[in-house]
Amino acid sequence: MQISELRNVVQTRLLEFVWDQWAQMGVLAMSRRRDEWATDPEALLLLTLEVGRYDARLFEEVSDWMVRNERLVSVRRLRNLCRDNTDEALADAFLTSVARWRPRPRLVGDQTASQLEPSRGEPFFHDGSVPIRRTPDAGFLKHGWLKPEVKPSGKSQAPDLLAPINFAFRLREILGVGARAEVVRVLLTLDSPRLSTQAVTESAGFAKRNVQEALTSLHAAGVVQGSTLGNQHRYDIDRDKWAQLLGLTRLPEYRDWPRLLHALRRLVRWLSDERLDELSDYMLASTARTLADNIAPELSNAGVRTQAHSKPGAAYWNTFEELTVAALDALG
Amino acid sequence: MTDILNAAGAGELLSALSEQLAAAGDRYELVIVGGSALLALGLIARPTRDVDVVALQEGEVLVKAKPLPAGLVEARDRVARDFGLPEDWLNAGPADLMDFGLPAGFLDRVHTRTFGQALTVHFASRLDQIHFKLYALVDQGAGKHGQDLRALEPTEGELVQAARWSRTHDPSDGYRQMLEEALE
Repeated sequence: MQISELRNVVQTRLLEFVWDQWAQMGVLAMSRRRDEWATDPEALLLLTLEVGRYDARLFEEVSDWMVRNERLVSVRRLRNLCRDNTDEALADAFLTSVARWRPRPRLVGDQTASQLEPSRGEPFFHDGSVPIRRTPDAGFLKHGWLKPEVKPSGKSQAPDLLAPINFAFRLREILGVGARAEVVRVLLTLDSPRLSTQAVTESAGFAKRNVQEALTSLHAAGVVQGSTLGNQHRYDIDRDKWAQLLGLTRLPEYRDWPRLLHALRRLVRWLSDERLDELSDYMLASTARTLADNIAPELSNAGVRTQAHSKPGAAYWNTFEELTVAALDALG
Repeated sequence: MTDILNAAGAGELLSALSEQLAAAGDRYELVIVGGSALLALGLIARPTRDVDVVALQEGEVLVKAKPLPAGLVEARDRVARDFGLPEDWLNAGPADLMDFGLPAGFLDRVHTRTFGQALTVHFASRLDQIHFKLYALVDQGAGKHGQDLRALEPTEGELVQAARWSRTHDPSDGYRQMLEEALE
């Protein structure tokens, strides 16, 4: 498979996935599925900010959703899940843009006005479209991106809190937007007994200190059980009682979205680099191997089978294709 | 360590090394001796386990290859990773030969090949390889060195010339005695 073909496969699969997720969360779109897992809103949003650069309508509809539902989203957690400067710039630009229509102090990050002349910015969307007669979005321009300012359509709905995919939002409505809701989500959905603070922290998306405080409080309140194994505190939750309280016959499934979606974010960003098209077969395979070496631990933790035996030299490209397809298949 | 290179494989690895160097904006000229150089010149057919760099050419000057420059090591390690090789597949093992000098006229006899845009390799000539193989045979014992020396089919004059040069590297009586035994 040529890189252009792989690029198309990845973009198509990710856009389909992201549209389907948001459609089940209240974005105006036809949902073709009803997933049994609980989504991770902030991890999904970070992926959307990346793949949405290939689909302006997706980007604007999710912006509209955010304007309506921002109170259900943890800005702190969104920033915690950022892994590099590009993630941070995308999140800051998006939040600043949303704050233009939904003025909330928590949404506004760096308020420094852009020093950049609009003519010097680079198109935000990968199709190269730039605002010609429309005002550039100041939030994006601040980070060097030219994107038209778009008034929210107002078509988004609040998420259906009884849908499994929106489990995180339901818990946030009950426990508030913060570490407690994420801790309970992890304990309820991750079907693994006696989780350590570290294990909960890795999925909760908050600092270990915040997670520890939340676990301690929930334990003190008697809704989480604690035990000590060696020198480690372990935590359990009575899933049946919580399911009964929530009126559910079955709790939503856990997926390691932060790791999986971060790995896919890096993959789609890597593929977007058109300079790859100029590389020899060997150098393309070599740079692909460097990326794969970096994302393989996250993919492996997220349950993706990474290749034990890879092909040498330029032939590694086939191995990379297989890894990419396996990562996309993990989206369900 | 297992044998890793045949003539075609060595060429592929050196081309890959060149691409890695070019990507990093580096360029090198390497002087290579040993089995991989013999393979490249078609003087032996046995596979070899590594590429021995004795020196780097910088302009008109040969510089001892030990330690290998950081940029070259980085590129070499990427190639090792990409082809599943040990990191020392390209090494400066014989670089100490530079301490007492290479055979006179060495650079005039090298066979030069370019690999891509960023790598030029000067392979030691047959005559110079006879020098190095005789020295290695006496210093380290026969085995592959004896096998390679026989494959080079040196004349008596070439062996005498090589023996004289090797004495400049080890003038001890012990070495002289072992050299005489080897030549018999």
